[in-house]
Parts: sequence; structure tokens; C-alpha cells
Amino acid sequence: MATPPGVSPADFETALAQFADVVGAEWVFTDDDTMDTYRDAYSPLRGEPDEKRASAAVAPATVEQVQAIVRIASRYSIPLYTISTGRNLAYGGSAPVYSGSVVLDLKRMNQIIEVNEDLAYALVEPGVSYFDLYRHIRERGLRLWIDCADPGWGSLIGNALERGAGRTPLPYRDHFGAHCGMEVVLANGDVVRTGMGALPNAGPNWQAFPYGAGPLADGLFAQSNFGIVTKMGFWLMPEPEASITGRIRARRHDDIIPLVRTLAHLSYLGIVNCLYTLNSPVFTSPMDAEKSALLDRPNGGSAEEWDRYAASLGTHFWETELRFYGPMNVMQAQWAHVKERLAGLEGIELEDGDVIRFPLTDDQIRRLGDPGSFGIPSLNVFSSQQGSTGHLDASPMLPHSGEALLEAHKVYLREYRDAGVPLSLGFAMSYHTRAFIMFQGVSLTLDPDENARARALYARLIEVSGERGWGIYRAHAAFMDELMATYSYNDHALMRLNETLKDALDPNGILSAGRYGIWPRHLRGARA
Amino acid sequence: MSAGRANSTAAFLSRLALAVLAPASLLGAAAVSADPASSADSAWSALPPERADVPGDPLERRGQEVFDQRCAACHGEIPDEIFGPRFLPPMPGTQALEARYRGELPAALEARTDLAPEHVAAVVREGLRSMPGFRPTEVSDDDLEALTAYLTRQRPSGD
Repeated sequence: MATPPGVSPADFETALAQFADVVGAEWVFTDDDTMDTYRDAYSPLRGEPDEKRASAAVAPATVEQVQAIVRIASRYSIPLYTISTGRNLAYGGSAPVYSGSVVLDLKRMNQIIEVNEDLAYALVEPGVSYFDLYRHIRERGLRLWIDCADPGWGSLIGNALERGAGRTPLPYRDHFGAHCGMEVVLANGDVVRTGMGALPNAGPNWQAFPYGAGPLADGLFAQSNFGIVTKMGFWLMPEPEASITGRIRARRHDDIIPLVRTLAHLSYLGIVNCLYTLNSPVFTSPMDAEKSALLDRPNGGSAEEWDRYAASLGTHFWETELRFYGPMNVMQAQWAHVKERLAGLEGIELEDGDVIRFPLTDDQIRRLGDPGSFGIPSLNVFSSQQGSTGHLDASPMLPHSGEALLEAHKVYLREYRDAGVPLSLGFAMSYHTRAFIMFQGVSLTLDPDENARARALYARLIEVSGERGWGIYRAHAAFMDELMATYSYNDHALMRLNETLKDALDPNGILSAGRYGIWPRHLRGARA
Repeated sequence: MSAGRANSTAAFLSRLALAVLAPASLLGAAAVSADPASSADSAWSALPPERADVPGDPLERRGQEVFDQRCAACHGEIPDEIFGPRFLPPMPGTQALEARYRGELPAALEARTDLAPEHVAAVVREGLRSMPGFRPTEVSDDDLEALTAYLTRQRPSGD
């Protein structure tokens, strides 16, 4: 059995025995085989000496047990690392940032405390997955949708705290943005409720108004290590009458500029409210000598040169599909207005897409080709993983402008080409109202040399994104220091603030050391 | 805690060996006992598959439930026809095994008759390629035992 760094074997044994008194001996794990199940299945360091490994795991079932565990951990200076369902694959899974930590596994806290159909919200614990909440809603015949993360076994709370996003309209697909109210266990064992939840008699108002009064504390507990979130409320979308799509194709390289400008304003007006993915059949086509030569030009290739290249491939430059949700007459008016606004763009092609009406039958649900767009969890995203043993995701955030997208994509294309790695994903996705995510996937294998190259590319993507101001919003656990080092304005003032908060809220440094680059005082000297 | 717990794969397999020799009714009673980590409320599929073939043996029956809850969203039957827009193909586990075996073995796990108990247990706990392993807080030892019994059950030839 491994012992956490800096903890004596005797103290560790005592703490583990006290954990067992709290949760039951069967929910404290130290044997090698079980601890192997806490390894990060998609670790870029798999099997290498630096792989992040936990020493033990403890799995409480109640908030009172969480309180008792943090008090014991504080007494014996045991580093804890909190996971909810532990399915944060590509970002660290169920393994800690700081090797030797004891995983605080909240999977057993799987109570759906309330789903309120009239006020359209759910209040859940960290172990509740999208599948769990979906089944709960269906079994009760409630006409509510969940905005799901792509892998449906993920935790609503875990994904929201990582600021994940889904595929239905805003505000729901921004998972942190659509939460309302938290319960948090602090490092001293105290329990805090945020927003209206601080009113002893808040009732459903906890999930109605996020702010309450005074500073809004919720943001402190996302992508951090200042507390352990044990409950969160989420707004849910009432099931719409139907959904339709409209397809858009633009011919030339520079068409993206007026196209995105128009779609951005339509988004800010609320007329376009979907996640839309901008694809470029030209940029995502296989690398060849002509494309490589274009990228080597000082400007990354002019619009005319790229247009000639697109013509040689015989394809249009851009394509996307808009999805609308609601009553048919409202959606048809929205799409008609989009078509009107885009009609002036030369060479634009606009086409009516699918019509789906709700509720779906069980048979339709079983055969759905895109469940996530209709609030239904699945694991279909793993179809994109065929032949790999895992991946890393770099996810730069870009302003909602065609110029920024063009510049960024050429920069990333060049990085992938220089690393000898094919660019495998699409272009840009409008998960958030005013920013695009330009996902950059990096495949992992079981070969340490290939993984070393993958790590080098991933680190380079973080660095380049930071330098250009296209900060990455979320990173794998092995790269959190590198990520946060890019947010360096005024001599890392943001990290200095985070460290001040860490010292105040977790003076013994027992909670999730190293998460998002925030280390307790006694480990700061050791960080990369 | 580790010293007294029988939660390792090796310990699980030794219990499995015992299970093969013990009366099925006793095993069934043990396997369906309350387990907060794998309650019926916790599942990894949107809808359970439609079942015409519920096993008579209680342990295998529980194993089928575990399969429906924990495995079917990846390892179920690929639908003949997709409804609505396509994003990513369904049943990634079945797709992966189809690509791997190319018709030499069935791609759907429930159609396999060659699975060894040790293999099922090892893949669930350790994972395989892009499939991650699963912790005892997700799939309990009891549920893994039932799942293994279900996927390795004796069937009449031609089944």
C-alpha cells in the first residue's frame, strides 16, 4: 500500500481506520487491484513513473460522512482528491493531480433530491449521472429535458464544475451557467449553501434565483479545490413541441467573416439559439503538399490561394447546420429570418433540414442518431474513439468572429502538421453565446514514445493558445500547471489571488492539491 | 479496508470458483441483496433493451439487469435503422468488436458463447483499449459476479 507523501505510515493507518469507522470498511479501498480501477484510463503518462496514482480511496454516501472525512483528513494532513462519477476522461478521470492523494469517491452519493416539473429544475448529488436523471424523469412521465454531456455516465455536478457543455439551447447547454444553487463542504467540515440556499426557508427559491445577496460564491468551487460540492441545482428545459434544422453552405474562404458576423448577431438576439458547428471540408481534408505549402506562406495562405485550393478539391469552403426548438410556426419564422439575413451573401446555399416532433416513442429513442440534441444521454461519443486507447482534448476559446477563427485554425493546422499528427476534429463549435470552442484532439496509445510526442503537442497547443489570447478553458490533470501559467497577466495575479483564497479556505491543504494549478502552501515550491 | 476485503480480481475469481459449486438459489439470494452502489436507479443506458429472454436463474437474471444498466448503452445491438439526424454511430462497444472480429465472432457480447469468466471480470475492472475499467463504487463485486454468470451462462446449442 502506498502512503501519501509527507504522511507517516502510522498516521495514514490511523486515518484510514477512522475513515472506515465513518463509511464502513467496505468503502475504504487500498488494495492494488482496486486502486488500479482509480487510474486514469486515458492517462498520457500511462505506465510511466510520473503517472498520477492514488494511495487509497474512500467512498462516503452522505454529506455528514463527507464532513467527518475532511475533519479526519485535516487532523492527519491526508491529501484528498474529490471525484464525482470519476468519468472525466481526457481530463484526468478518477486519478488525482497530486500522486499519493486519497480519492474521495462521491459516486455513492447518487440521490436525485428533487425534480420540479412546474419550476423546471433538478436538485442532485455528485454521483447522479445524466442517465440516472433521465430515467428518473421518464419513469415519472415528466416533460423535461436534460442537457447532457456527451458521455451520459458523467456526473451533472462534475461536468458543470468542469464547465462542460452539451447540445440543446442556451442557457441549458452551458452546464455551469444553468446551475442554480450549491451546497459545499468546506475543508473545516462546515456546510455552506450558496445563493438563496443560505435562507433557512428558501424552499424552491434555492433553484429559482442564483445570486441571493452578497458575493456570489459559486464560481469559487468550479475548476478549483476550495471545497467539496455535495448538491447542485440545475435548470431544465421543458420539452418543446418540435425541432427543425436548416443547412448552410458557403463557397469561399472569406465568406466565413460575414457568415459568422450575421450568425453571431442572430445569436445575441436569441433567434439562433443552438449549438452550431462550423466545418470546413477544405481544412479538414487530408494534408497534402499543396496545403502544406500554403500553410508555410508568411500569412498562412491568402484567401484567393485557399479558394483555388478548394476549387481543386471541388468543394465549398464552409458548412453548418442550425437547429431550432419550439412550436413549428415560431421555428419556421426563425429560420425564414436567418435565410433572409444570409440571402445577400454571394454563393450561399440554404436548405431546409429535418423535422422531429416530440415526445419521441421508445422505438424512436432506441434508434436515435443524435440523442444528445434531444436531451437524451448516450455513450455514442465513444464511437469517435475507435482504434485508440484514449485522447487528450485541448479546447481553445475564440471570440465569435470569422477573422479569429481563420487565424486560429491556420495556427493549429501548422502545429499539427509540424508535429506530424493528423488534425482529426472539426472546426469550431458555438457552445457559448459569445465564444467558440475550437477542440483539438490528440490521440494516445500504449506506446510511451508516441505518448511523449502527444504530450509535447498538447503542451505546445496550451502554450500557443495562451500566447494568442485564445486561452484553453479546461485541461488534463497532468497539464494544469502549464494551463494556468498561461493566465499570467500582471505577474500571475490571478494565481496569487487563488493561492490567497486557498490558504484562507483550506489552510492545511487537504483538498485536491494541484487542481487547476492551485497548490497548498507546503507544496508550492515543488510545483513545475 | 484492503486486508479484510475480498474486492480484488483474484479474490473475486476465487469467489466465482466457489459460486460454480454452490447451489444457484443461495447465490441468487446473495447477488440481489441491497447494494447502494448499484441500485436500480443507477444505470448507463437511456432505456433498457426490450427483453423476451429473461433467465430463470436468479444470479443470471440479476446479471442481465446489470448488463442492461451498465453495458447495453455501448455493447447492445446496433439498430437496423437510425431515426433522425446522425451524429455519431450508436453502440461503440459493439462497433469496436465488429471491427475487431470481422464476423469471426459475434460483435454483440450477449451473443458470445466463448467468454471466460476471468476475461469478463478483468475487462470490467481493467478496461480494454478505449473502454475504461470500472470501480467497485460503479459496478459492485456482487454485480460483477452476476454479470459474469450471465455472459458465460450455459445455453442450449444453437442459442
